[in-house]
Amino acid sequence: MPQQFIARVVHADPVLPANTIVRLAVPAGVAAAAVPGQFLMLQSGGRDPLLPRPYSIMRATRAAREGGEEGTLDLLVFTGGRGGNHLAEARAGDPFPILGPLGNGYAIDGRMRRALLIAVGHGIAPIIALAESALARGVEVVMLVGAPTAASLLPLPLLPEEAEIIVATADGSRGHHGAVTDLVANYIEWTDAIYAYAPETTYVALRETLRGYRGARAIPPVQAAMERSMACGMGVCLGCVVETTSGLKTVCRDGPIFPLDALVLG
Amino acid sequence: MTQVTSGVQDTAIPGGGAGPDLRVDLAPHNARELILRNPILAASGTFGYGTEYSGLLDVQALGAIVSKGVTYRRRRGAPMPRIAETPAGMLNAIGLQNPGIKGVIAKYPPIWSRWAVPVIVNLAGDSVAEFAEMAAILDEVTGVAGLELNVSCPNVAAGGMFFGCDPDLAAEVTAAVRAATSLPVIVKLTPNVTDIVTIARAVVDAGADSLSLINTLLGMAIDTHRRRPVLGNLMGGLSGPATKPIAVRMVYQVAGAVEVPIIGLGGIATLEDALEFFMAGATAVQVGTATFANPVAMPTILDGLSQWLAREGFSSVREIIGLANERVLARAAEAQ
Ligand SMILES: Cc1cc2nc3c(=O)[nH]c(=O)nc-3n(C[C@H](O)[C@H](O)[C@H](O)COP(=O)(O)OP(=O)(O)OC[C@H]3O[C@@H](n4cnc5c(N)ncnc54)[C@H](O)[C@@H]3O)c2cc1C
Ligand SMILES: Cc1cc2nc3c(=O)[nH]c(=O)nc-3n(C[C@H](O)[C@H](O)[C@H](O)COP(=O)(O)O)c2cc1C
Ligand code: FES
Repeated sequence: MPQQFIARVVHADPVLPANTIVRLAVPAGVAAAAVPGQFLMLQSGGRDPLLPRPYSIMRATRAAREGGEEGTLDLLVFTGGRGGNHLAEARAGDPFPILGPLGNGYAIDGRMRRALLIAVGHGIAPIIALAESALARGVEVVMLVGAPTAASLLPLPLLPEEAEIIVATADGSRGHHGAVTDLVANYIEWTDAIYAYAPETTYVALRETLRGYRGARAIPPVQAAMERSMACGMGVCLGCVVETTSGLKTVCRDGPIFPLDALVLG
Repeated sequence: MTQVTSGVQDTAIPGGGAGPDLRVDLAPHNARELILRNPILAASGTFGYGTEYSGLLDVQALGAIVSKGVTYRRRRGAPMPRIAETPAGMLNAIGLQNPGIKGVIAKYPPIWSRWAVPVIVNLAGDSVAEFAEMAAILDEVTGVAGLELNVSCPNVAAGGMFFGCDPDLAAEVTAAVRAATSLPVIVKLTPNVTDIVTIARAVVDAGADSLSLINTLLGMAIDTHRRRPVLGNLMGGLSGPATKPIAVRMVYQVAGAVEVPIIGLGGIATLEDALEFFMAGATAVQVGTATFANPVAMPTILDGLSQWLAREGFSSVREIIGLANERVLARAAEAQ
């Protein structure tokens, strides 16, 4: 159940020229309830921009504190836009009205032993949350991380240590020269499930790769995140819909995570 | 003091407890009544069917909820993108995506009938006949407190002309609905007209119990990067703070010209905004886009209104209706 609350900025650390990690102090119940793949709507509190902005939860922690428990949530913020800049320029103690956690989040099957995680762009934030959660349950994790250049990749210490991380850059400046989906074929037989947070073009390529598989194993199920501009985050404005095999669904409430098989991609 | 609506006093529900009396009557001449506990309503299309926000705010404490627009048949709605942010506002072209009247009736009225808060169903017909048919269907449905007619939608039967842009068509819809139901009928006016007062008079003469205004303003945004309109539907309705001065002006004009209660809306986000509408002549207000930016905007405005009235020495919200509107004041003085 989402809550409306005022978060306080603990710190905002620029980690790359275009990325800031913002740590927010939130009610312990909010941090406890958060599932990887869920997001928050960060409101401007009556200032510009008018509409709240969705941000994925990158990390949720709970800590004992005098007089009770406190939670923190880390967000990875890409700067450049108005909402992103507003957040990244925040200082310790600044209040942010927030609605969340919202959306369904990724589902982790209790019997899963191995997981292939695919992250492109700011998709790395929810994929980090998912990797940490899966690792904590003893799941083996391989992360395929895609970025335009080496310079836009998050520094390694920010990624989960126990996951195997494989990088692809569009310009070849680090790791595989090309798209993350070029690497998926190597893992179809290895993994029990695939989790992705990437642009739709990646999903189209992923689907082709999986359809092209001619081996003996069943194709692993894929959970993929969709994004749309949002207004309410509560499933009421119907501004964020995507086409699925069972009709239109809202990204904010029915998603953002959908089975790849259910998505009708444009 | 000014008393524009009189039904609340006449029906004499004892004013509950301390604090100013917030009750308003939105259908003073209708036997089925539409007396609200307070004048803050959730606007159509911004609060779903009332169930969605129940964990976040005390939905039962609102004056009323207006449902998402309901059409005769289920609708898929407009192509994406459907929303675009603009300076101090947003454009939307949702295209009335909804499960159709049968789908809505099967799911929601059983829930609404257990609620303390009245639910008003917003109707959007493709033709006069569809409006009347939907009104007739809802007439006896328990849990439906009233109807709001969205006459901003195009009349398919008349070649796509907007009902709300033509006084005769708007009156025809109102009269047909009036004949089909005894439920309180609110007609929601579009601002996309040359003279809103003429339309307002026409629908009041045709039997509207009250009016709500304004619906969204037709607008457009271009994505200069893609060199195409942003919205899948090309054009959309502008809402939010950017529209407030236009809405206040229209409420002022219409309140001065007709005697039925006016529900004001368009860009209300704060108590101050709501007060402007009351003083312009509105008996109640609706809050739409502001709920997206701040889900607790309505309860915040409601608390603020109560405190403000007490502090300023008013015993009832009805005393501030039209305080800044000479014509409303004059009419009230005459009625004394
Ligand atoms: C479920 C979800 C989770 C997200 N998680 C993150 C995250 O963890 N980190 C992060 O940096 N960003 C995330 N985003 C995207 C973030 O919300 C957008 O960057 C933001 O809305 C753009 O806002 P802005 O104010 O920074 O830029 P603006 O100045 O408002 O806009 C820049 C451009 O981006 C477009 N835009 C607006 N919203 C979106 C959107 N949702 N998707 C694509 N384009 C958009 C605008 O139309 C505009 O053209 C997420 C989006 C969604 C839907
Ligand atoms: C996303 C969205 C959907 C809407 N859907 C409807 C609708 O179905 N029927 C209707 O009469 N008005 C609809 N409206 C208009 C609002 O009810 C209201 O008239 C308008 O937004 C102005 O108020 P505001 O500035 O407080 O939002 C919608 C508005 C928005 C933003
Ligand atoms: S953002 Fe409003 S329905 Fe999803």
